[in-house]
Amino acid sequence: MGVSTQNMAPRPGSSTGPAGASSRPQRRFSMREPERYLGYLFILPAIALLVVFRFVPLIEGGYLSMTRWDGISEPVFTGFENYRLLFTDDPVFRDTMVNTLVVLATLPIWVLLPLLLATFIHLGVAGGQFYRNVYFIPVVLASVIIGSMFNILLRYDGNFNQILGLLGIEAVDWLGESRTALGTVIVVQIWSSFGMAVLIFLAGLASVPSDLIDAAKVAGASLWQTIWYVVIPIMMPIVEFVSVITMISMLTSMFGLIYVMTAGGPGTATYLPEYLIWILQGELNRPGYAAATGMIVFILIGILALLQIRFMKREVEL
Amino acid sequence: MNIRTVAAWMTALPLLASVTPVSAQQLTVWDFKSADPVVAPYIASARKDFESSHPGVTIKHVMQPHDRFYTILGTAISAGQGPDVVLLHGGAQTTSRAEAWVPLTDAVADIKADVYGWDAFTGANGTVLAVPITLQGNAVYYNKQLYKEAGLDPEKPPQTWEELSTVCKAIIERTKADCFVVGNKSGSQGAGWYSSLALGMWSEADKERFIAGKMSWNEPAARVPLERLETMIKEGWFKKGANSLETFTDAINEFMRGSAANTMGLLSDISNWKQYEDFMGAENVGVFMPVAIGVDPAQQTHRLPIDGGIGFAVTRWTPHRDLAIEYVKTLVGPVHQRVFLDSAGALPASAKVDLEGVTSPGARQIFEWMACCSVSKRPASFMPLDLNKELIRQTQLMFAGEATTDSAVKALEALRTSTNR
Repeated sequence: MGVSTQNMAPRPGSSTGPAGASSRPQRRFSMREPERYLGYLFILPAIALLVVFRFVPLIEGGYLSMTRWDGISEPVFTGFENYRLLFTDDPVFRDTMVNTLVVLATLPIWVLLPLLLATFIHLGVAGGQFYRNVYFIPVVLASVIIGSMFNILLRYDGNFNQILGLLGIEAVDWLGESRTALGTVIVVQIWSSFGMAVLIFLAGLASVPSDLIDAAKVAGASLWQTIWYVVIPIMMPIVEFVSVITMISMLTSMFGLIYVMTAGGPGTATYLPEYLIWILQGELNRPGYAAATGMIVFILIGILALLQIRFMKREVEL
Repeated sequence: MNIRTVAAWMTALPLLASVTPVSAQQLTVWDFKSADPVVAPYIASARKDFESSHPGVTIKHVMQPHDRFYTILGTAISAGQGPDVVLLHGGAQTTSRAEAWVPLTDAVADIKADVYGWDAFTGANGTVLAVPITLQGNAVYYNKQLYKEAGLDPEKPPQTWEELSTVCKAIIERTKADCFVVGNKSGSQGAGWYSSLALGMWSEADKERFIAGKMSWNEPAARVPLERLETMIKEGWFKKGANSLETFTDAINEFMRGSAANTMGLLSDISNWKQYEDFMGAENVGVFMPVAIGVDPAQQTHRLPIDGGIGFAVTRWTPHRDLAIEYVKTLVGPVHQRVFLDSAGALPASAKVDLEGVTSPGARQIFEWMACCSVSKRPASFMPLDLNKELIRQTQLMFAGEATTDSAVKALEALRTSTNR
């Protein structure tokens, strides 16, 4: 849709400029005003969608988190009571937050492993194209399929333990014991999602000037020195981006695997915020309490993401 | 009145006569089962019977997706319009929406004694909210072949804790199979085991106190079932890796392939006598009630937990209330219930079903117990939801060897007495 300049032309005797001013600034001024309004018009649909589908639910969720509600009768406003109970009288929430910290502590693995693999592929390791495709295959599989597959492999009398048995190692109930369940789910989640990070890193690596790498080689840098002193510094903005989206996905994308592989158990060993919210809302009929948990997770993700971005920026500046 | 008017009336009258109020009536039923091939014959039987006895009335069953059924139903309830009749699960799914259903207490008074499972469809004030059509509960199914291999009498399953102990020791020592298989990933079978062990020793008053959340977990009545479960786990009666096995796939398959001699199953739908007899042969499958613990089994007779499974309710907004009530009562008619039994293996709610020709020994045994030895309100199904969830978590930890009776009791009692519920 074109914008007619005819209507925007300065009108004779217009009062938009000082008397006697040349026509040029007058014309520029009158051109920019409608453009500014048009700009607002263009972003209006996006703003409307954000307001309707993000801000309004967020505010409603905030209100709901301050109510006691069974999902049927009228909600009763209780202020910050749900938050107080979560932090002072809820061992399941406490366990969930500890599990969350454990998951977050593994972030370097989630980021550095794909960075390393992407760098190898970029530097021309044999069969790079093959690895690129193979790494990406799990990304297109639904978490239910991945979970079901690993359920069969990892059950007490499953293939994995059979292989360990051949090596003389005692079988472990990987998904059924607290000491192994969360770690096992994390490993499966990393396996299923790192292909996407590899792809993002490869896209970033494509922008690394090849003459820099060649220069490093000529200067006698080893592979590790090339990665550490040349590739990683240039890739820091991409690392920052992958770190933030990975951290968010750790807290918001593991529900499927947990639901299929452990159902949160044993005990609370694999409870993460999403799963806890689902239990509170879907099984225990406590939508207000579930909303309070959701708000805490929202704030936690926001704080962590901001801290991460600030930290990374400082690292890059240094 | 001229001849033209008379002719017009004469033409219109037969048409008007055919459009009587009754002929215009259609009952719409929402369910989550009618298109299932094994359920369809039952629905067809009831529908044809009702339509033939009510000329001009048609019944329309609409099957909604099971996983979204209550979401869709919630929309209809909010709008105050929708189906005339709905299929519901017993317990909280029915009672939590009590305002949406027509109270049926008086309407079903004439069939009350002929139908089991009312408790699951009765509201807090004793109002009947729906008519049960199936029953659900727990029984232990066993592999007679493995009993023989272990030198046990396959026709004499255990009735007491001591006999169960003898059976498990023999199975473990003399066969390659485990005594029990449990699929406790969701934890529901662990909680189910607690229920079954409790019914082997509780009085009716104990059960009611427990369901109301008034029984302290420190009391012997609440502790002993946990202690027995802990003993079973420590003695190695269960197949290892229970927490990574699914209840309705892995555990069933393990039992059917003979890797365990016993399994706690259901009475209807799945993991029931029909599924096991169809696969293993009726002559190879036996069934027994939860065992008596610390009491004479002749005294503690009511040990088979049975509750209403699914049932039909009439909606408050229906303009065809009387017809809908009649249809709901038709659905629990003994002839149609027999069709349901034959096609789906569903345990019928009607006590009047003619069992002539039912050859399944498992089904016949369960019917016999229904009359003499059943008890309603399975503790794990009727206890407060949050305590049930904690019980599930604690049994998972016990199967993993990470919790004892003492630690489980401590956690459960802490929640029971908590203000955060």
